Amino acid sequence: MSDRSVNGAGVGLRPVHVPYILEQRPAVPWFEILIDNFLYGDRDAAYRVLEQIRANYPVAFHSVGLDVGSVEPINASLLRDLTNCAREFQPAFVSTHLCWTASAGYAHHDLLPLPFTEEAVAHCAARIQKFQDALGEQILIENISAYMRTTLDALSEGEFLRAVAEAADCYLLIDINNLYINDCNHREDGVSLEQDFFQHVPRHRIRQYHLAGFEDRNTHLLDTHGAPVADPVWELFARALNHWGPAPTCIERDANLPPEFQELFDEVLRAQEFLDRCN
Amino acid sequence: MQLNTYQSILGAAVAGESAGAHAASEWIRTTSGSTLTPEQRIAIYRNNSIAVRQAALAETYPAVQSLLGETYFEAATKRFAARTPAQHSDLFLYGADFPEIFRELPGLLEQLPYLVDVARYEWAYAEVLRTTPVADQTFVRVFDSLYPIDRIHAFCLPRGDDSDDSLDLDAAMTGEPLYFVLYRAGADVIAQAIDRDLFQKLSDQL
Repeated sequence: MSDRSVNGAGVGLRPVHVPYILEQRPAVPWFEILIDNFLYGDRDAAYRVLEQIRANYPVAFHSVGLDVGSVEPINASLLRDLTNCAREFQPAFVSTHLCWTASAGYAHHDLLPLPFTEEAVAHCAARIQKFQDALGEQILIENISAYMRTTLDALSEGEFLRAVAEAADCYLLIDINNLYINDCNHREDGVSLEQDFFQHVPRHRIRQYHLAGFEDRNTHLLDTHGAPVADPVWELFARALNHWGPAPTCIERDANLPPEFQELFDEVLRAQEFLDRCN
Repeated sequence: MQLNTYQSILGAAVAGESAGAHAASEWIRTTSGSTLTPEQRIAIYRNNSIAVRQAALAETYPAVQSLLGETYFEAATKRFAARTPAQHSDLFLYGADFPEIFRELPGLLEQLPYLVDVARYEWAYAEVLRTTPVADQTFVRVFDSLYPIDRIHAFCLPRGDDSDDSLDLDAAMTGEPLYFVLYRAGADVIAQAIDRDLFQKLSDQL
């Protein structure tokens, strides 16, 4: 399939579902590929899977390792491999998170929050521009779920996201679940995050949405990607579509994966209904 | 505060360094609307990070997990992951030293004396399985043990087709060291018995 574009509601590809997808070819409009998983380990085997998926579906790449906000050196080998992979498989987008994951020799494997400062804006924008130069196209950056805010913050999260996107001239992937989680976890800030985002995040930068599930830990909501999309997240998605308009939307599930793909496909269909109503 | 200082402090805190946690807690905002302390907020990230490393160990060491059972395996991986931060974004590279943790549990080794060897073998097996084949170069690992480790490993793997139906360990023990070379054949890892001389020769080359 040579078509690069992705439209409507898609889903994150997970290894447990690959045999079913290749055999049954479910009518999913597109798949989001966690591309880091295809670049580490036996790449020949991973590429064979990717070739078969790409032959039948458009894809978008989502990376967790680009480390937009880290002060550590850019992972040059990962960027090179990702660039080569993108040239070969022609994803509609390459996206990553607005966060940092490594510091001082540690790889934390979690999405750590940046302080919302002008220095962080400039730092992230400079790195994103390097990624975009290597890839030859604009990438998408995603808002993360966060469990702390700092006294260093000089901007709201919405202002920060917009400032980075404008300084780097990149696009945005709005994770509705993360937006909801942060709104609940930081509600004490007195400003609705939803209002902050709707006021500051410009529609023309948004190219994709994420939907996922969370876990209520009583003291906070934890972004687990281990449950179906919750009702208030669907409601926030509807408000986001009403405010920003439609964009390709991906259902993400990484834990408690249903053995049957159909359960995820049902969520894809539900997301598509929201998009259709918006259209 | 500079961004590099911020990341250095918070990164150390997430990695479990108490000095980092103390320093970071001073600029983590506390508000009246939440009961979470700064330390608890750091712990959320630390626990997430540990859980990811535990999941990586579970993926690399399925036979060890089968041998130990889920509860003991989770406890062992948590103990290791909590004190062993990852140093590389590629989690396939994480956990080479995990087998050594079982030496700290002598009671366990009395029951499963081959446990460390199974874990070491499983790491070598994973290395071979995950290495992209290169033409004219065969990636190999060699292994020696007093136990028929290839058979124990196959027996424990949670995959019916590759597992022996039964394993009489006493009958399989020769009392002499056994030597293996592991290599890829297509999508499979082959463990081939070799003699001591070839083992020594290959060990010297690796």
